[in-house]
Amino acid sequence: MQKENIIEVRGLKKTFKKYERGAGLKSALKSVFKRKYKTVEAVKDISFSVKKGEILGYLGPNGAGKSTVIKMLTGVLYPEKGEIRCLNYAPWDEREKYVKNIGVVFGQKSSLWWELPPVDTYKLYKEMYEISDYKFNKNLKYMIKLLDIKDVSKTPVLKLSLGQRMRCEFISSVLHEPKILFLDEPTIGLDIFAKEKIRQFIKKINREKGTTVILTTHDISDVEELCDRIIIIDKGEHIFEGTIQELKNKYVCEKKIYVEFDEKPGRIKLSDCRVIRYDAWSADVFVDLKKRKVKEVVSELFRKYYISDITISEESVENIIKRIYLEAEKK
Amino acid sequence: MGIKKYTAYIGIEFKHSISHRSLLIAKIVAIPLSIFVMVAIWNAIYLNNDAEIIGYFTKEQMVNYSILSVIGSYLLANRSDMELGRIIRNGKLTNELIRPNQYYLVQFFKSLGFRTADFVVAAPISIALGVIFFGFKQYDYVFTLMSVLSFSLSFLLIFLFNMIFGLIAFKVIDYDNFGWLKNTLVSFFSGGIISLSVFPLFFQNTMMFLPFQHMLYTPIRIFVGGYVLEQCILFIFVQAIWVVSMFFIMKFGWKMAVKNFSGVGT
Ligand SMILES: Nc1ncnc2c1ncn2[C@@H]1O[C@H](COP(=O)(O)OP(=O)(O)O)[C@@H](O)[C@H]1O
Ligand SMILES: [Mg+2]
Repeated sequence: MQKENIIEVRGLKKTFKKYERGAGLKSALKSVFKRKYKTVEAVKDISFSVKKGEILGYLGPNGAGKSTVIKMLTGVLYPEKGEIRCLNYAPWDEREKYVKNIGVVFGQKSSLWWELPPVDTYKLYKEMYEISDYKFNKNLKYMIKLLDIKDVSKTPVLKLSLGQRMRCEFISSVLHEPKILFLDEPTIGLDIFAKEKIRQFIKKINREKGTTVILTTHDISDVEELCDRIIIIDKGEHIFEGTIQELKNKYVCEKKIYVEFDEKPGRIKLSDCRVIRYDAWSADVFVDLKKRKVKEVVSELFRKYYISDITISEESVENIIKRIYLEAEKK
Repeated sequence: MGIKKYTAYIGIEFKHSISHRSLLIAKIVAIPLSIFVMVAIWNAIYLNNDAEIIGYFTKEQMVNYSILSVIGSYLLANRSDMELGRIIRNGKLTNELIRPNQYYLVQFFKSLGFRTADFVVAAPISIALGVIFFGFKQYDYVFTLMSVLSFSLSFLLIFLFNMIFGLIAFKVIDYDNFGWLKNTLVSFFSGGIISLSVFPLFFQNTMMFLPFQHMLYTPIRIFVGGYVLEQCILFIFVQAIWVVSMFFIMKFGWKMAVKNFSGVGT
């Protein structure tokens, strides 16, 4: 069955004016009337769509335009050019109705009241999103357990650890069971334990409630564990769109074979391979996949040398993405 | 369309405000102290000039005016513009815009919530002290009632004016300077420092065409019996017109500002 598109974006563009402003009242007053600025093309011309129930990883180096896109998708920023349909709404024009159906977590901005326990904020959102008592209590209990949160009812937010706080932040954005969840760097600065809890949580609500998730992150393991599909953006333009497997197919051109020898092999000679030796007893063999199959190289190795152990590994996704960023940087 | 989602902000801001308990205590001390200073100054002025009436007010009216202007300045004070400046600067306006709300309503109910403790604690204590030590008195039930109505309109007016003036925060990095400057000017032109009745007539006539005197001076002068009934009704009507006009200016200005908002901070 073909799933429907829940988000559709066509020809999206956003330019910022960067004002040059001095400090102090005088220059501030001046800046109201006469202002110098540079323009920054944060998002150039972007089109894509997201299907219902998908988890999309939205990746890119710092300043690539991820947050700008997320802010336009969530109705915060006015899209300068192009068209956005989310859940059949135009996010900016129909903001108030639209945002009732979405949840958003900005990893660097808290939406909880610092001086009060999280539960006070939750109660506020209960009224805001018109959540019934039954649904509120059920969801809250379920999420506290799932995210392994210690105390939401007594401790003020400012006294929580970052890991606990982010988990509380998540609850505040999904209590109303949003159809789409936007996550802008939600795991930034968290320890492995908190990260893991949050990943499990995202997976669960995606599976159980069919929530569509758009995730930006710098943590590639988030992406590998969660995302069905990724988009890579750089300098405001998409430079890759597809599954992780498609990313590998497109960009991985080498595999590594680590070999340990029973007997010193002397000089190693293999065609279409790079061989790096660190000592007499072992070597890294990089196979150029465009020219040879790994299988062939392995059997050649066994034929020619006395081998005690062998490990085949491919380039990590993290490394691939790093390479893509670097290549884009050169252009 | 629920109003409940907005009134819920009264409760949470009230809790928030009493989590800053020291602020409330500071006010309970500061308000009577300011009143004491103001009353002492006016006593001296009336004594020195050997005058019965200064700027239409008897000494008793002037003392009452001063007491109410100190209390009123505190109660009607509104930080919506500073708050807007703050959330634009630290990027939290983004957090407001992802909520199914109108920001101005959120901010309005937050202001109400934040003032609740002042209304129920600081104000009654100050008025009680005023009655005991400075002979603060009520003039007439009709005037008091009208004055309460007028004070409510002042609250709205100050809120709306701040929301409009605060739009400057979309254009400058550090809004606070503008905020302080505005607060000082408004305080002066609304009669928060000295009753406008003591100024030359041409100044008073000019002020009539501006909104400022309706932010504080009007309700207090109504309370101390400084206007006849027809004048009271006229000025309350003028206040209402200002409130309605400012509402539409605010709505329009806000729409334009948010359209150009660039979402500072990532
Ligand atoms: N409010 C703003 N004013 C001016 N420039 C901005 C603003 N927000 C973002 N930018 C610029 O737009 C580009 C994209 O930013 P952003 O979307 O935040 O990137 P990312 O989230 O991928 O790190 C950057 O060059 C950034 O400096
Ligand atoms: Mg970002």
